[in-house]
Amino acid sequence: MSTPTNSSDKDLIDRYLEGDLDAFARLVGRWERRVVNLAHRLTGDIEEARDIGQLTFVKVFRGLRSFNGESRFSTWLYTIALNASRDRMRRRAARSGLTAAWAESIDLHTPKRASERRETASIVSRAVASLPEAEREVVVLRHYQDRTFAEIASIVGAPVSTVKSRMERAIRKLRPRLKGLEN
Amino acid sequence: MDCGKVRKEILSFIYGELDRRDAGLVKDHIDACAECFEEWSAQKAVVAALDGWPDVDHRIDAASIISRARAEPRPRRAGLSRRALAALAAGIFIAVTLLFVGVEVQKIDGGVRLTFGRPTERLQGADPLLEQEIRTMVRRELVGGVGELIETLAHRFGEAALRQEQRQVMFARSAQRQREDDLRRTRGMIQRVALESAAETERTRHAVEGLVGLVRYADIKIPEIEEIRN
Repeated sequence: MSTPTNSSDKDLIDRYLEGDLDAFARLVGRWERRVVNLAHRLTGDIEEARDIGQLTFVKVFRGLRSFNGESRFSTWLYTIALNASRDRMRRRAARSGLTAAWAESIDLHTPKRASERRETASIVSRAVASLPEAEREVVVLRHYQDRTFAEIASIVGAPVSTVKSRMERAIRKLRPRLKGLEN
Repeated sequence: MDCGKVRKEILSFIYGELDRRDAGLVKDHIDACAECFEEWSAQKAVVAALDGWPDVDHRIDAASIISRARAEPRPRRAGLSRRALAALAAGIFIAVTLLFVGVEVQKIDGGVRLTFGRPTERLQGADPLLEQEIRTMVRRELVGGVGELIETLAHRFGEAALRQEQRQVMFARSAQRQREDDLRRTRGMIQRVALESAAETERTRHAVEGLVGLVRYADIKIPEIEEIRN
């Protein structure tokens, strides 16, 4: 069964539920990069992020039949990915006794040829990593995943006003650390 | 819009989340207010700087996800299903009832019949034969009776979880036998409590009668006490 490239998430889900595995593959293809990048920016580890990406889509594969469509697919997907990332970070913190100390060892995976860009990425990633988890999640979801404050509120399970406050606090904390980096 | 409102909406404005009217109001205010313009500039600079951390490019093979989803066992949900939980609750209730009240478990065609006894009637006599009867019943029918009940339910509902419960009850039989002494002590305790309760009731009755007499002597009208007396 062929799947048009402009199908909506709902179309792809419906086709998958009818047995079209190609539709599921398209759904993965549409969201994989965002899920892996979300996990990467939250955990700071590209290998873990890949595994979280896999795990998220395994859960999606298993759970799509019970996905009731009350929320948007993206909200549901991000909630799964966020929980998987949180779970991984907490397990790692429990193992190592660290919280957000991954900032020291963050894996940037940016092209080495652009050393200046790499240096900038390093500064930004460390600054974001230094934020408290709740603020980091909001920054990553709003800025890097282009989710609205309302959708972030649904994903993290907090009121919109709280989400906005977290973002404001995060921006205030980032200000001195990112001074001079804007282009 | 005043400065306070504008400050709260600056990030929504930067990320384009405001509708046209509100965005216009914020923009007009920022153009006219030097402090808010400065705040907007500072926040916009941070937002722009965040772009310095690019995405990683990564592909996930959907086929590997599907094979992993099919190969890995589904994580067990914490707890039992509602039906299994209800059956377990019923089993526990019955077990407790059997322990402390006394129940005759009789297997009948297509099910199990439970006959409940009243504890005061059965216990207050402190008849050694009765005690022996209850002890024998507990030993032979308690675990077996519950086991049969759950087995019947399992058959009826076809629930694997219930069969598992039934197996666990069977395993518990041997442990239950070891608890016979405890049960005997429990029986004795129930008897003592029942007898003490009866004695206490008698003492209470005397106390109430005394109180009623006192009230009459003092000629105080308390309808409730009259009611108790009558």
